[in-house]
Formats: sequence, structure tokens, C-alpha cells
Amino acid sequence: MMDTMAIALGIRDALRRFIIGLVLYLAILLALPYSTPIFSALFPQLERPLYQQQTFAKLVAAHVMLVLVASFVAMVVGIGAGMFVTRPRGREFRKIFETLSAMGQTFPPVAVLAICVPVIGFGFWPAFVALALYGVLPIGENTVSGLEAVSPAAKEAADGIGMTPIQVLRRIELPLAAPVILAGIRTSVTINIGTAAIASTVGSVSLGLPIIVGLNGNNTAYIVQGAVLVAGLAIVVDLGFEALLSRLSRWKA
Amino acid sequence: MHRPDAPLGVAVHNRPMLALATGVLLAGMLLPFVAHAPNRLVSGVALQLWQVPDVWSCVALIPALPLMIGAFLRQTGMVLWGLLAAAIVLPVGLTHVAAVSAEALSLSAESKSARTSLGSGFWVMILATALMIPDLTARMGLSPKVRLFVSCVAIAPLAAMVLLGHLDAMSIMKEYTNKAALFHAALIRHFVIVLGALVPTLLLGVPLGIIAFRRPAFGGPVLAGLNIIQTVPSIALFGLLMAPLSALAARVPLLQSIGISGIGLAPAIIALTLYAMLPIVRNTYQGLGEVPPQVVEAARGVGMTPTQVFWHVELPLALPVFLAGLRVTVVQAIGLAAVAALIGAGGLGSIMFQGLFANALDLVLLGALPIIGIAVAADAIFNFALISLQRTKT
Amino acid sequence: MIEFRNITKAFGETVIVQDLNFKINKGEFCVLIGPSGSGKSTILKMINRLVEHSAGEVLFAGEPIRSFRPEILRRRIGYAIQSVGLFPHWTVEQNIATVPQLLGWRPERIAARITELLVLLNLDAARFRNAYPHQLSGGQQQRVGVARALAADPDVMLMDEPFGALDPITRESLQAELLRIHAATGKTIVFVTHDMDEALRLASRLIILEGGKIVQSASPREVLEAPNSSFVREFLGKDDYGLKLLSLQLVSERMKTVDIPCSPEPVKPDDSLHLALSRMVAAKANRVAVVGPMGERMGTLFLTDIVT
Repeated sequence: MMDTMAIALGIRDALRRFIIGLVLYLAILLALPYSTPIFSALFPQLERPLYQQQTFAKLVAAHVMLVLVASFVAMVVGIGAGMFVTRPRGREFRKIFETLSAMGQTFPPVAVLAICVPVIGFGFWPAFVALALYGVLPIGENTVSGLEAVSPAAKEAADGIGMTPIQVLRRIELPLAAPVILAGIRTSVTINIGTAAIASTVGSVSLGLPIIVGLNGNNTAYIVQGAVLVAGLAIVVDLGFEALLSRLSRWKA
Repeated sequence: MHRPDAPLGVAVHNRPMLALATGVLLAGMLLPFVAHAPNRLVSGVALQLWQVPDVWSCVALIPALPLMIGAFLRQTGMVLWGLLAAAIVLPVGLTHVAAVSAEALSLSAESKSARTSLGSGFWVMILATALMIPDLTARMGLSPKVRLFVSCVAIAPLAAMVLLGHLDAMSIMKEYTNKAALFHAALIRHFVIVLGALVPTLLLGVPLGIIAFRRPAFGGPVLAGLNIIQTVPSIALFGLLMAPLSALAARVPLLQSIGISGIGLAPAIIALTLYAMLPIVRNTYQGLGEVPPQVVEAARGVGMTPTQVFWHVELPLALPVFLAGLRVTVVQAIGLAAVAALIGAGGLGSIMFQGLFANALDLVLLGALPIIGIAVAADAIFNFALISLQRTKT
Repeated sequence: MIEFRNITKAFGETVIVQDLNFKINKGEFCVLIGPSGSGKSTILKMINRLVEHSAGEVLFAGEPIRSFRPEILRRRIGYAIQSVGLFPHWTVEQNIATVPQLLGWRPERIAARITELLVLLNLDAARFRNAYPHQLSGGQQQRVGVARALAADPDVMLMDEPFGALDPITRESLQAELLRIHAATGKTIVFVTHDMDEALRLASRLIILEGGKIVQSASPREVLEAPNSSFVREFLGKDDYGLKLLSLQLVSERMKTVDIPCSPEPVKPDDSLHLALSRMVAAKANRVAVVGPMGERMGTLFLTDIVT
């Protein structure tokens, strides 16, 4: 009983941290357009101390959209591939999958992003493709290790009790592997939030834009504004994953 | 159920090989092998393998046929060695055809600025063969060291062709020739950034990891803090460091005189160090945590001093986990150093971003491909070290 | 209930079981026993098609098992294994409800069945119903495992060394409970073990296996009284063979209806000779009083009568 309560408290703690983080982030986002006095005090030499080419809310939305769409595709492909190579019919492809994922993850994400440009061109698409491609790898890898870690006894019992292979996968294997898979999604999304910021250099709209514009125009205030929003977004999303993870693993000791 | 003997008498014994060989053939026939443009500004014309000015071009695809047929044979030792040989020859032939065609195309072009670049077909075929080799060596049951050696044998002829100038007519190599001095400086700068971050990381991170292990009350918050830093995207961390550093440099001229300011090497190295800390501290901590307590107790029991226990027992046993952390750190730093170019730290990233900002795609590749190459090579070196460690363990 | 006809099982070149024939009748408690590698687990798993036989025919309730879809077959057969295999992300309740849910029972019926099973297996419903497996002891986990196997009231239960990983005391109490459940429900049970004491205690019929062949198939008592080969005799245990024999024979078979004073704690007619001997040895006596259910004197058992 005691530990059930402790787990419940853990979930609530993580959830509370996430909600506080989210509220704080939204507050900063809403306050930023009115912060000219602060930035002109901090950077008196700058004529225009507040980034105003686009609204910050729009940049955040574009950034989140890019990451969301790319990560969704990465999730579908990564989890699908991970499930395939752990089934009897796909087991033969496991080695190739592992090679691809180990090799791919040594590729720096920024280099993958750059290489997409000669192939695809500038704009949203190279960023989307780079994020989705790169995002597949940690998700696929964790799907495989999560599914492999499911106890053989639970699988044998599920078979022996009369579940169909699909029922075993859906009711036993995937829920038990879920925390590990989620950890992979978390890694993937964290990396993608960063790469999406750099994607402003290949012409896609994201929170990296104020940073790049600031770097080119020597406007440190722009850089700080962009950096705070990118960093905050990454941290808030990470807190969200933390909350989700503790909820998914509540059956554990 | 997988049945090795299908009713028709034709059975696939190696489905991954069949898939990859089919991929190679389709990419060879359908995707552009090279792209040719009369000058830097005009977008190029895509050429298929059979369209390039090399009559023997399609011969290069021939090794794909035994690879495909091999998938239908029983995977005996002989068959696997044959497949491996074909998989090593295939990319050599393709690269050779690309080189010869580039040369022919540049001779026939009227302007010197004509450029021939590699097309998606080429890259897909190379990737597919690159995936075949580890699969084959694993099926052969070769030891990790021999597998690594086979990979080196496969890469060697391609590296030799690049280094000996056989590919000089390719646009990326032309770009390299034009910018050789700049490239070498950037390459050295890249290593300087990575090493510049690595040295303080090791000096700080290893002791921090040890302290974190000995004093969990201290270790928890340290690891949590480093975790948050790791979450912050690199470009944001660079940005956040810029403002305080430039303010500091403005106040303290001494710092400025030794090169510390908001942009350039200093914030890059500081940010990279902050990133690199997490894997180092965490893996030092975890490595020590994985040393079985009975072993430590036994070491104390035979009369070792705490120092001796550390050097003779804990350190060697924690080394593999620590090296795994160092591997992550180094590979990650090589990539992050590229981003550091945005804040004026230089390195290969500066070539890459210069290309992106100027829409010079060969320049992008000249920056990005070596970054990938260095990261993969560093990873392979650590892989080798870890394999060697495992050898001594058993 | 279950019949093996000329069953052969080979994995690649290795033959595990060759030309096996036997029948398990309804209500039998059939224990498959043999050393490791004797094929006992493989035989068990061929019944619910976790392992497919290579040749021959297995009949379940008169029909060849290949005529069922494997899942349908398995839902009619309870299955419990040594490592328990509880689903760690589900509560005790959800674990037990698995098969009834697969069979599409109504929720009220499932809830009632769970309560019934928790009572049957001596698990406190209030305490365990919503507990997760990791919160239970090994013995409690196996009780839940057995409850799950029984949940949909299957005609047949397959048990693959279900008590192998438990400590001796827990194992004994679970064995006793299984015997009680068998007596109360009349289920057909096929049980695999390599522990002869467990086999002798539980079985209504023993099937002794060696190298994928049946060496002897008979009731425990018949096996003990007439082991048909040196292998069986050795497997029964050379040194305490006699004691095992005593544990299957009853006081009533040897007692004399005389009434003389005896010092040891009295025994009942349906106690084993093993127990009676133990009481005599403990009291350093050569006879023990036999009493009826109300404590009334029925006779005396003499040491010499045990060994003749």
C-alpha cells in the first residue's frame, strides 16, 4: 500500500512540475512582446532590442508543428520497424536494422540537416525530412530493446493462455515496452527540438530564426529572446515526458 | 512459420540480401547516378547510370547479380564469402564509373566551372551495400575484431581513390581543390574545438563522477542539473552564453585580451564542455556503481588500501562503461562543434553554413561529409577499444 | 480427454519424442516425470500447440487438436508455468480476468469468478485484488498464476513445473491446495515435474519418461511396488525407496484390532505408514495406537507389521 501511494505521489509530482513549467513558459511567451523596456535597459546600444519580424507565438507554433509532424512520422516508422524486426518473419532483418540505427546515430543531426538541402532544396521540407529521418533511429532502437526486454515467461503465459499473436503484442508486449519506447521518443524529440532551431539556417521557420537573425546582425537581444524560448520549450517538453513516463511505469516497483 | 523449402523448389535463404540487392538494382536503373551542370549557377541535368559517358558503366552493376542470386542459395561459408567479395567490389566499381564519367563530362563541357555531382542513385547503392557487409559478417560468425577489419578492407579502396585524386573531377573535390587551405584550417580548428572541450571535461567530469558516486546526496542534484543542460538545444545554449560572456568581456579587459568574448572559440568550448559533462559524469558514476560490491569487499578483505582498491579494482572494472560515455561525448562533440560555427568558432561547420547561406551546395557537402566521416571514424575507434577491452575480460 | 497417437517430435535433426502413445482420461491427475531432456515439457506443450508435433495425431476431447485454431484450443485449456508469467503491468484482478475477457464474458460474471477463485486459492480479496504482481511473494504469485489458469473453468489444466521455484514449505502448501482443488473440481490435470516426491504426492497416474519414451505408466503405488526397470528404481531414489513406499500405504492395511497401551501420539487409519513409523521412532516405541475420527480406539499398529 505504502509504495502504491509513493508511486501516485511520484506521478503527481512530475505532473505538477510539468504544469508549472508549462504555465511559466506560456507566461514568458505572452510577456515577451511587451518586454522592450527590459531589453533596451540590458542592451542600451541596440536600436531595436525586440525581435518583431514575426510574433513569438507564431514562431513557437511553427517550431512545435515541425517537431510534432516529423516526430509523429518518426514514431510510426520507428515503432513499426522495431515491431517488424522482433517478429518471427522480420527477425532476419534485425542485423541490418541495428547497423543502420547505430551508424545513423553517429551522424551529427546538423550534418544530416545540411545534406538534405542539396537533395531536397531549402524550406520546410529538408528540415522535416532531416528531423523525421534522424528521429526514427532512437525510437526504432528503443522499440527493439523494449520489446526484447519483455519477460519470456509473460510471453509464454500469454501464448499458452490463448492470446493471438496480435493480442500478445498489443496487450502484453507493447504496454510492457512502453516506458522504454517512450524514452526513445523523448530522446528523439529532444534532439529534434534542437535541430528544428538550427533548421532556420536552411530556410524553415522556427524559433531558431531570431537567433540566426541576431547572429547575422550582431543583435544579442534577438539571440537571447530566441534562445530562451528554444531552451524553455525543450525543458517543458522534457518535463512532460517525465510526467508521462512515471505514469506509464506505475506498475513497476 | 518460416519454411526453408518452398513448394516450387526456389527458396529465399537470405531475405535481407534479396531486399538490398533488389534495392541496388532498382536504384541503379531508376535513380540519377550523377548530376551534371555546365556551371555553378545553373541547376544540373540528372544522368542515369546507362546515360553517363562511360561505355562500361553498366558493368559496375554486375556484382549486384551474384548478390541477388546468392539470396536464393543455401548460406554456406563459400556462398557467404562470395557474397562478401561482391559486396566489397560493387561500390568500388560504382565509384570508379562516377569518377570516369565526371572526367569525361568536364572535358566535354565548354566552361571550366562545369560541375558533376553524385546523384541519389549512387548514394542509395552505396548505403545498401554498406548494410550488406555487417549482415554477412554476422552470418559468418566472425569475431568483432575480424568484422571491423572487413569493414576497413571495404572502405580502403574508396578512401584510396579519394586520396589519390581519382575523383578530382567530381564537383566536391573541385570545391576542395579551390578551398584546400581554408578546408585544412577548418579541419584543424574543428579538432581544436573538440579537444578544447574534451580536456576540461575529463579533468572536471571524472572527479565529479567519482564524488557523485561516493556522496549520493551530492551526486543526485549534479546529475539532475547536467540533465537539464543536456536537454537545452545547442544553439540555445550558445546563445544564452553569448550575452553574459560578452558583458563579462566588456567589463574585464583582461579576459578580452586572452580571447574570451561572446562569440568565437570561448563560448563554443564552454558550451561543449557543459554538454560533454553529462555523459562523462554519469558514466563514471554508473561504471563505479556497476562494480560488484562483493569484489570491492573481497579486495578490502585481502588487505588493499582504499587507493589500491580504486586503482586495481574499481577503475578497471568501471572502464568499459566509462569508455561508452566517452564515446557518446566525443561523437556528440564532433557534431556540436559544427553548430558552434554559427557563433564564429570556425571549424568544418563554418564551411557547411557558408555553403548553406550562399546556396553553394558542393560547399555544404564539403563541410558536412567530413563531419560525418570524422564522427563515424571516432565511433569506430571507440568500438575497437571496447572490443579489445572485452577480449581481455574473458 | 487427451490422446497421443504415434506422436513424433523432432527439432531439425534431433528427435525429442518418438512414436508416443498414451491416453489421459477425464478427471485424472497425470504427472509426467523424467530427468531433464526426457521430453516431458515438450509433450505437455504439444497438447496446447505451443509446440507443434511433427507426426502423428493428438486428440483433445475426441477431436484432433489441429482442427482447432491454436488460440481457441488454448482458451479451453488452463496453463501454469514455473516462472508464473504474470503480466507485470496488470493487477491480480486483471491477470485472472485474462481468459474470461478473451472469451467475452460479461463483467459481472468475471468479477464474481475472480472472487470465487481468490477464495479457492486462499488469497485475501481485499488485499490482493488490486495489487500488482511485484507486490506479491513468490508463493502468492503462483497462487494467482493457478487462479488465472483456472479462471475460465477449463476442462484440462496443464502445469509445467509450477512449484519448481518455490521454497519447500510454500511448495507443500500449494501441493495440498492443488490436491484439494482437484478433488473439488474433478478437473483433468497434466503436471510436469522432475521431483519424484512431488509426483508421488500429487499423481493419480505417473508417466515416467526417459529419452522421449514412456518407461512406465501406472499409479504411484503400482510404480513403487513394481518398478519395471532399473531406471525407474533408480529414479525413485535408491536410498529412501522404502520410505516412499510407506508413504503410499495406509495404517488401515496393517493394523491389528488389539487394544494395548501405547506411548506415541496416536494415528488414524487413513494416515500413511510413513507417519506411523515416524511417530514410533520419535517415541522410541515399537507400536502405536490407531484411533478413529472421534478419538475412539480402533486398534494397534506394530513395527514388525510395517516391514513384513
